[in-house]
Amino acid sequence: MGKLLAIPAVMVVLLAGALVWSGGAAHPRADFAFINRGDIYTLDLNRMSFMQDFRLTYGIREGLFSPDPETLRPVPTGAASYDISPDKKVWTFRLRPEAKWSNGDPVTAADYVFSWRRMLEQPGEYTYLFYYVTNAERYEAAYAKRAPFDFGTVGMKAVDPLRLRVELDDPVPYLPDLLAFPPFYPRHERSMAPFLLTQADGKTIYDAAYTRPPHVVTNGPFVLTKWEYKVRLLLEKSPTYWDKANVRSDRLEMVVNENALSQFLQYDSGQVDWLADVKGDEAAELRAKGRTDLHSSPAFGTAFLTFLVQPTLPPGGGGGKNPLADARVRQALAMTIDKKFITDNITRMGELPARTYLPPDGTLPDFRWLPGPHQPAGGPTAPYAPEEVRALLPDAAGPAGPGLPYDVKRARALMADAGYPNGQGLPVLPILFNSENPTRAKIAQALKDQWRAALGVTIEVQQIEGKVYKERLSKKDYAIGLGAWYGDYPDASTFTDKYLSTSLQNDCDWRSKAYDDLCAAAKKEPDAAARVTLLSRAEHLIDTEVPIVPLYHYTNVSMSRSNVEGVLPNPRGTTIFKAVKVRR
Amino acid sequence: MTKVILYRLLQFPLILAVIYFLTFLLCWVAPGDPFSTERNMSETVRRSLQERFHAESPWKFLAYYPRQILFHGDLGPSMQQPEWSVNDIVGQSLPVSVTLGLFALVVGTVVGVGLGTLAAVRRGGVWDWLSLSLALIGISLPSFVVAAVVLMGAAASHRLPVGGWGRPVDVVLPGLALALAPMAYIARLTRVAMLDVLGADYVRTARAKGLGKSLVVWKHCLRNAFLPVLSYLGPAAAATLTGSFVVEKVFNIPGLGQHFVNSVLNRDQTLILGVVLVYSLFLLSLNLLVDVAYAWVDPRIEVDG
Repeated sequence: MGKLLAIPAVMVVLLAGALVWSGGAAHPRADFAFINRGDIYTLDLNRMSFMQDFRLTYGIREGLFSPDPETLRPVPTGAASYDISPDKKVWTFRLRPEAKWSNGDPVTAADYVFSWRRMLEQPGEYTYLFYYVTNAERYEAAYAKRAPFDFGTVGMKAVDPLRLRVELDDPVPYLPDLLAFPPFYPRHERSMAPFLLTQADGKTIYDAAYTRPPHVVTNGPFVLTKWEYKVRLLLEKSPTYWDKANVRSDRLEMVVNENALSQFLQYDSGQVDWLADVKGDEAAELRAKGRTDLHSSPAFGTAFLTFLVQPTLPPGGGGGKNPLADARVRQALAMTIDKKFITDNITRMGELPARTYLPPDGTLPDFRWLPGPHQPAGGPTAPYAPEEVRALLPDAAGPAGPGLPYDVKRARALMADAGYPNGQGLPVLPILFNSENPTRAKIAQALKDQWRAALGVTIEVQQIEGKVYKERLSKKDYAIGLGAWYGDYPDASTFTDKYLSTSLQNDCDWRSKAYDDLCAAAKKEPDAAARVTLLSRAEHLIDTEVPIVPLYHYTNVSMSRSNVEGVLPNPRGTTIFKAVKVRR
Repeated sequence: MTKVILYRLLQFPLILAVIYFLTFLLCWVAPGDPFSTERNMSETVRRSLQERFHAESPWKFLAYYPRQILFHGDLGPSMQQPEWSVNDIVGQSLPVSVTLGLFALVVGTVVGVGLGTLAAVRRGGVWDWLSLSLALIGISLPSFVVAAVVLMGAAASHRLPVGGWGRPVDVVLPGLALALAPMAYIARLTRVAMLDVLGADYVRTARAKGLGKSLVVWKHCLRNAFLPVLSYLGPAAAATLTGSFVVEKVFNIPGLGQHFVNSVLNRDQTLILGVVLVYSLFLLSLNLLVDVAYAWVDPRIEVDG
């Protein structure tokens, strides 16, 4: 009998041991605890691309410029002042002498050059933003092939410890916005040295683990003091930060929680002060319940349909001649989508039905949208300002406005014109989307029904895993897909660059010479107003030739109680932690 | 016996190697790129990442990682979470899953055997009915329903933690949610085995010799009735470990289960292989352990290779 009892006894002993092995100590609650959009993917500036990673980086690092907590316009922080040459191609920044790293070292121009050079030698998704800098792209290509190329010819130079000179190929009026974006932040080379790896071919790279405490050295308002994988990240006010008088909280904690129900319960029980992003159905339900602590803002992002427009369809698109290569077919499909139905019944978060690719959320106050091709006679002919577009969007169906209206009659005529009267002769086209997004599944079904009713067109709904979806889109192995784009920095080019013929992000394979020329002219244009006009004309081509059909403009939704300051949602989902404070 | 154990242990590397290779094969033929994120990346960037992770070709991968594992015990860097090596990830999450799994298993076994025994002894009574209901619920309710119900109950109580990990109390609710299924199964197993044993001649003899009922049940019957439970513990341990994903997800517990699923969705090849290896090693060891325990409890049973 003793033997038999031994089994549960051993199990209990093992359990006690395991508890000790796996448990952490309880820790005091931070001044401000929050749940981010998702877990941190990486804090390595080279590989960073997700909103939650950028959000945290704004708290621990700082660039020449930073977004202002109120307006989000770039204000000089790491830089004290700057001069621009008359041709607007050479910028010289004077660094703030009192700026310090978290280990007490001064922040120097060499730290910026080191960090930017890393972006070229160990390239990541945002390396392309450095291509504005003279010879940066060539240096990246040469380094990748181990071909000789003098880094001294690249337009980034530390003139002296506090002076940084940047030479550009073209005037880039929004350079301060780019410089406020984390890929342009400086790094502390000495503390990263233990993480330097040399590859077989002689190239050097840094192991991303340099971003983990206790090794990591940063220059922002907060220091990352603890990173428990998949559990929490702890940020403490940096004692060496030059503007620490304006840092309003001492300890911040990012709680990792990727389950919607558990997130909400943690928030509701007061364990966290802020849910940075509330998604889809949960948000709509809470909104219906009239929760006053649910906040939303228009987002700098648009959901759209993407059409593959090359002449023949790939196997994944059904094969054969591609009817979507004909702009009339695309326009007919675009003009028979009831977008209001989608925002009222599927997304339900107060999103605006979209007629344009660029969102009229207010991030680009100077941008104008040209009137669409079906503007009624006698209607306004002047370009629309953001607030005018916003005013007419809630009922997006009318003929007046930018882009295309909802017009079944005209759509049918266009289909007949293109040789597919009542949808006859049109192959069954698949519509592709990633299965982990339940909203997209509903939208695809709605489109299928709407197109069948309006045009007699048959669509096959295809739902696939996220990674495969991504691959099929980038390899252009599809016909119709559901996509989205958020702007990275407040300039129209963050959207328009995507559909250049040469763009890697141009999933449509849409190649418009007119479009490319307008964008190229805008790139060379030193006058800000003239530049925006050129980009407006380019954007108008997308809205009317519809390689993509804008469906709706996103909203950012978050939850926070009234005693939390500095976290209300904004179009770009940026949070400046320095300004965050919980009144208790 | 020692010989048999040694023989079994010697088989481990071979089995693990086969598992590693098959998993690698599946990873490599599956569509989807481990490095892709929201934007399409340039060939230079992709190339640079592939070089960093020795993933330019299957040959380069196989030439690098297995050697690292064998000689350095290094499962490599995670392709999707650049800051963390697979060793870091497994090292931080395995203890969590093991604790949770063990808790569920201990509770499941103790309560299950107790209930099963009571049900058999008081056949047709309240206890029997209770154990039957528990079994029905435990076997038919999927763990995500159980977990969500338990979590909502905790939220309503305003006292119990609503997810997270760190304090000993955090293991209780998810542990109970995870314990329900094995508990139900063990209760049924024990009841059936116990009924068999209770009718056996030697039990009647023991009773005839004047031994008390509880003594007979406790000392003579349970020992034999426990054997089927013991053989079930191996698969049960496997199921609680691998099946903890849902419970971990609902309760937001940083265990290994989530990596088992997410690494596949992310095509994080190094992490997939690492997690599969660790799980396999665990299952192999557990099976061996159960076989040994079996022979130890009942000397009539021989463990053969």
